[in-house]
Amino acid sequence: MADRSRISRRTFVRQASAAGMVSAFPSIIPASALGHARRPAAGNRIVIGCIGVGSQGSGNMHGFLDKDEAQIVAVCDVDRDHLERAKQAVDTVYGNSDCRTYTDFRELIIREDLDAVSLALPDQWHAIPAIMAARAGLDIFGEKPLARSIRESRAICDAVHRYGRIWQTGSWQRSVRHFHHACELVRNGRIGKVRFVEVGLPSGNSTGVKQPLPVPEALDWDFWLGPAPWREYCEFGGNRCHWDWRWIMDYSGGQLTDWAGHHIDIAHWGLDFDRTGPYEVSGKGTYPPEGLWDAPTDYRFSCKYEGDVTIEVGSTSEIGFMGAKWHGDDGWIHVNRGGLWASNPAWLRYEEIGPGDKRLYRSSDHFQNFLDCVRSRRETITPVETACRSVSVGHLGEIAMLTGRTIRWDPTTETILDDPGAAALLGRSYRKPWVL
Amino acid sequence: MSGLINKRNCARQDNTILGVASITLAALVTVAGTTPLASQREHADIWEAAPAQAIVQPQAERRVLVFSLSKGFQHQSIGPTEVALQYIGEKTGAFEVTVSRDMAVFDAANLARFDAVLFNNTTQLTFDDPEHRRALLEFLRGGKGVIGIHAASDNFYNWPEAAEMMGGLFDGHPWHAGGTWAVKLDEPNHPLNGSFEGNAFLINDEIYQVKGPYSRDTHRVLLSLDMSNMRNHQVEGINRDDGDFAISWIKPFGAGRVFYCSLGHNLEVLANKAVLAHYLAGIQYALGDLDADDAPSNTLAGTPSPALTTDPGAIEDPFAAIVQQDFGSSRLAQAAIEDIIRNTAPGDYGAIEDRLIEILENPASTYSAKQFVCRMLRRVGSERSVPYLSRMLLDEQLTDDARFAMQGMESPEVDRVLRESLDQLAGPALIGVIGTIGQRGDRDAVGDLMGLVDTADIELTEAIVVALGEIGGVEAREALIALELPSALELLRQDALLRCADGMVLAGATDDAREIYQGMTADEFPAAVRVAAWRGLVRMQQADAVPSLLALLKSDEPALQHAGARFMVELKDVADLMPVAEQSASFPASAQVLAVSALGSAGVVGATQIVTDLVERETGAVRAAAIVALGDLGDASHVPLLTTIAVAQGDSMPARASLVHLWGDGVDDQIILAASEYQNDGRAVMVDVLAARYAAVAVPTFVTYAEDGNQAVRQASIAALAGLAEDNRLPELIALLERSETEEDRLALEEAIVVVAERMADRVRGQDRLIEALELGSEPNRISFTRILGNWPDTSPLDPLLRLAASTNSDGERKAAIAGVLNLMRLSNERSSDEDQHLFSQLLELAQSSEEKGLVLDGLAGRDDVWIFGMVEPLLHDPELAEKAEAVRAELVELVARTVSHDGAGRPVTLAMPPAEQYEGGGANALTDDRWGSTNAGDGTWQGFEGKDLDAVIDLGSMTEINSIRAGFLEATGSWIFLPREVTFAIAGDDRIFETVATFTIAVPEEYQRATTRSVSTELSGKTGRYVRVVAKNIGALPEWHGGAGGLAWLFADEIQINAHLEQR
Repeated sequence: MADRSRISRRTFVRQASAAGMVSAFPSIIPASALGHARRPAAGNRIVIGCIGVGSQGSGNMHGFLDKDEAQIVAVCDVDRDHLERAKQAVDTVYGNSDCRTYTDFRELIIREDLDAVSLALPDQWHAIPAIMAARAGLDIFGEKPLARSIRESRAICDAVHRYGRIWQTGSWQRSVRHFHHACELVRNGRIGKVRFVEVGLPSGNSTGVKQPLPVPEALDWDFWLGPAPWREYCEFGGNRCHWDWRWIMDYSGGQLTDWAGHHIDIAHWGLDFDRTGPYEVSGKGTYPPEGLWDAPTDYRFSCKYEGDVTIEVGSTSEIGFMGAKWHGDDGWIHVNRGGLWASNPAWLRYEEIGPGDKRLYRSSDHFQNFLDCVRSRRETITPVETACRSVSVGHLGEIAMLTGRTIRWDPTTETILDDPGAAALLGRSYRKPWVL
Repeated sequence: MSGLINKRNCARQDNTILGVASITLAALVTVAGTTPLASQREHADIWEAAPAQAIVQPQAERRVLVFSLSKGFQHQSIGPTEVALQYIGEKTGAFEVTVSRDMAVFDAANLARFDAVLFNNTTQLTFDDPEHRRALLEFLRGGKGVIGIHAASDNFYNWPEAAEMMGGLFDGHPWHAGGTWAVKLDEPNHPLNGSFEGNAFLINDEIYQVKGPYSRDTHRVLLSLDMSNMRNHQVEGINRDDGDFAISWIKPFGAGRVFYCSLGHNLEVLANKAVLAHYLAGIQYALGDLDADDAPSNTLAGTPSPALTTDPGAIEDPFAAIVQQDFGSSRLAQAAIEDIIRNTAPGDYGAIEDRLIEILENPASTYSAKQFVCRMLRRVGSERSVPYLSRMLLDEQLTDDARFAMQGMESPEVDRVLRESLDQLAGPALIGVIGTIGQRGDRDAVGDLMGLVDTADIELTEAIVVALGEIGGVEAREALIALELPSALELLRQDALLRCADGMVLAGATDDAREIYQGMTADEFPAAVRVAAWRGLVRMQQADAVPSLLALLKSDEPALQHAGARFMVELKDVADLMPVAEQSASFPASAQVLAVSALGSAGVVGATQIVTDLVERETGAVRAAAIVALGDLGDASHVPLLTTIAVAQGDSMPARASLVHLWGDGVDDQIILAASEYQNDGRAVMVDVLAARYAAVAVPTFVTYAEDGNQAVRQASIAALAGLAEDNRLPELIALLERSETEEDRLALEEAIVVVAERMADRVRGQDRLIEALELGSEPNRISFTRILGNWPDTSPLDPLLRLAASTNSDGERKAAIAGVLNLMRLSNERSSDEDQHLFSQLLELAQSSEEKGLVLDGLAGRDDVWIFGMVEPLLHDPELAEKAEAVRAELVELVARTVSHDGAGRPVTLAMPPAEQYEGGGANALTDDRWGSTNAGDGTWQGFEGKDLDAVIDLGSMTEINSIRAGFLEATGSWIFLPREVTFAIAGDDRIFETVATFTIAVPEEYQRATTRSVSTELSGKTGRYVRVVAKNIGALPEWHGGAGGLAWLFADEIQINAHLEQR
């Protein structure tokens, strides 16, 4: 690929900081003026509790710690080592020892002083806390993929909408300028009518057989498993059950669902598919023949949408690259975290999108965007419905690959047509005593 | 084994000379690695395994040149392979072997004496002499043979013809030497495969992947990895995507013939009869004696069916195999079943379901097996499974798994058994079933669920309420209303009713839904519930929702105001919101803020004038919100209003945000115009806004304002250029820098150029442009350009900066250049420790002032390379640097204490004779670098001496108490590496008069030894010294029995350890 047609992400970051602009909301709309159902926060801050403070969770926690207008008052994790580390980080930033710790998220959610929660849990644990938080009138920063199954995703969406909550998904690429620019170019027809889109996601790995081990003292293993099927504890990978759960299908769909919320999400954004889905999905996956991890390592599936558009999703081994690449009648555009490329390099300049063009929602700071919307009640850049539609594509691909069949999908009613066996895979039963 | 090394008590031996009565000798013989096998056995094994008869009678006396020179990795199997070939030749009479490691054998005249050349694990051969190249190719093309064993494909990377000759280039060995791999016979009936008797096999060896000129279009492939066997997939580093990993092949080349086989890394393979017979057949083919079809595989009329492996890597009956599985068992069988399911049509699931049910019914089945079965029944199960699953529902352990299988099954039978189980269950298992009934939406279960309510059992009742909400419908609604619930569950009941209503909307029962929603907007309900109820109403009302929205926004409850604003944004047709805009003045202030914000966010363009009026009329939060909304709704005509606010006190920030957001023709131009009208801070604000708008059209404006009279404007403009200028602005940026008058501007421009460089398409040209400016420039610009190069986004200016530091006579430039080199070094950690050592020592030489040396010291801080001791040493005596140098040294001691094992680590070594070039062990001080050699001679840690002795003196820097000395050596007789025959340790004070403190003699082995690292050591007491000398005598000529007899032996030494911190390593 010609170097000329590329803009690096780092450059965008530098540009943004060089411009030195900040969001206007913190200064114009005090939280107390907006008024919350709950009592006003000390110092007019948005009061947040963080549930799940492992790797991604502590990253998000630090995202909020960096914001003066946010106040983290509580952290929760079923691994006490995570919990202690998180409390220490929060207390160090605030210079006190006020951060409360919880091992049961239900106790955190019923606190009276919260405005929002940040959720970063293994996928099997996405639905229950999110729904409970929505019911409690809290705004939510949640992680992608929205849930482990389409049914759970829909339940989260309904609860968030029902209670008028603000939701931001950790699909942060939408808050990065060159992804935004790529989508504006596609939306504004620079490449003409789009018929074909390729979405490259990472290939997965396999691992060996893992022997059962005594549960580490700091970890509440039963609670960690939660609604997922029971199994004996073992090390999933490098660090207890953390992080590497994402390669085991009881908890996640592997790289496919882990990244669906990134590049499929971006592909949808460019096509204005945030509130719809494919009508037909088919494909094949390669699954590890041995070892603990059972999620597909290489995969490729084809999604047909109304309006003569096909999105081909696959691992890099199949697609050949990472990111979203839209092919239109008049050219192509390819974007990933490493940069932006186009058949016509002139499009890559930001001023290419001019006054006559349609603009997409713009955010340059994913955490700030959430906080702004908590105050203004505007829609975030990655609202819950969008998250549901992005990951649904991954879930449908998973079902197509597991059944080996072409799946027909009604994106309006969100049902699989004429294939009860495949439809059975839209939801999952919960291990006792958890109920969705 | 202990007989190999004889410790001689030197106190007794050399008593008269040394008078070392006080030395306590407890010399140890330590063996690292594995105990060597008795080599007698190894030999016997090879002899035993070697074929007794030739495949065919040779047509003449055949001479094979076995060439064993390794310039890269030295294989242990080299010597044993030589032995094996000699034995094969001897036993079968098929050929006679001549062994060599001398490139001179490739002289054409010499080569002519042979019938074939066999490359025995040669590595990195380059054939630098063109005569040798020509001779070999002519030899082969003229009708002779070439044979390659194992590493023979690890050569000729720069000689394509030879790579083509061998038939492939080494591309790693994903199938490592420790594993057992499945090999298939591509052609079970090919004469060269006769020894395998038609059977694929498993082998413990290292299997190569090849790249380059390998193809079945040119090669006749005999053996390859059996990729249908799962064990071959459990590796990393597979690069080929065609799944073709050939192991053994033949191919004609001119009038000659080539045979290659990659087996033979592990010594055990050389005692494998079938492999040795395969070698023999291949050699006889190459010699021209064995007539074998060598047409390329892909040209064959019918593809021969390969012989595949049938070991557990491919399971025959995975269903039988999982009965006994447990957590932590192999998952091969499970994966096989999943694979079967993925590849079976639903009409054929029945057979699979039968097998799965069998496992459920088998009393021997483990829990783990049954759990797996349930997972699979979720995919393939039918009503046939339900009776079995329904029994499991009642089992405390299996109930979850039974539900896992049944929850998604479309079958009234499932609903029936779930309902029936309700009476028979209690506790968590009952709650689980209730959850599943809820998810299935079984309306017939409503009555049963109501009957189970037990207000004393909160968890149970909670699950029932949740399930009723999920089931929905009129019956569930009635049930929910009728239930007597503890107050703790009141909120959950309201949630469930709301969900019933949401379900009714979807089902078209809007009147029922409206009734629920309306009822729940009543004041008695908590705010969150009322919000949800209002939301339900607004969603149904749409165009008629204005009264509802007004009711919410006029409420004095913050939560309801919130909701009003939120629902405005959700409305499908924003034009419906105009009445809300018109009435916004009547809202409480906080609701007005939210409503105005929502008008902007929803894009209610019709409300633009209302919002503009608010900006002009209102104050406080309402005005601020209106300013922001104007950014959503306004156009170029609103720029003057917004710029006026942006440059004033008060609402500057929202106005700036609005200006950044504003869309439409002419907005940028209007802001550029405003920038020209304002001055000083006002102009700086406009420049900031333009930069945040990514207004590339304003770049010329930024160039102009980069020389504005006002400091803030200049800084803002330079920052904007950093963000937006393209490559073509570099000359202008350089010119601006050359003309800059303040230090702040200069620094900002330096930074801007670096930022622009980061996104340059042609960074090399940019770099050249700067070097040119540097050469033509004068101070202080030269220093600026040096600093820019020193902050370059990649390491390419490293060498120019080093040259500059060496050539400049300007102190400032030199300092900037040195600092720059240090900066660029931090960009990459891809250099080796040795390369860094070289760079740092260059910098220390170039550094003139203490300040410059101090910079280098800063660069050294925090690293844990032992060579730093040597660099810091002289600086400790520099009064200006002593403190910093000491700090670096002290930190290093601390860092190194964790990793370094002895006091000699990092001390300089003087060698009487240098090691061989290709075995320098990583540098002058390799013997004290605290990196320990492995049994791999080519691992880069060993210093090798061909036919020469090791004579090393280590300088400890000052008089030191010496308690122990140890020296390590490698024995790898197959690679011509022998232990020394004698080792002497001596120590000396500053006078350098050495006193011998220990001598060891080591017997020369009488046959091949497996590669082993060994060390000799002594413990001392009461000894002090500054210098330690270690002399190790090479055995000289290789012994008679050795395949290379007549050649010179190698002596390999690694760490010399003084005062070991640990007892042993």
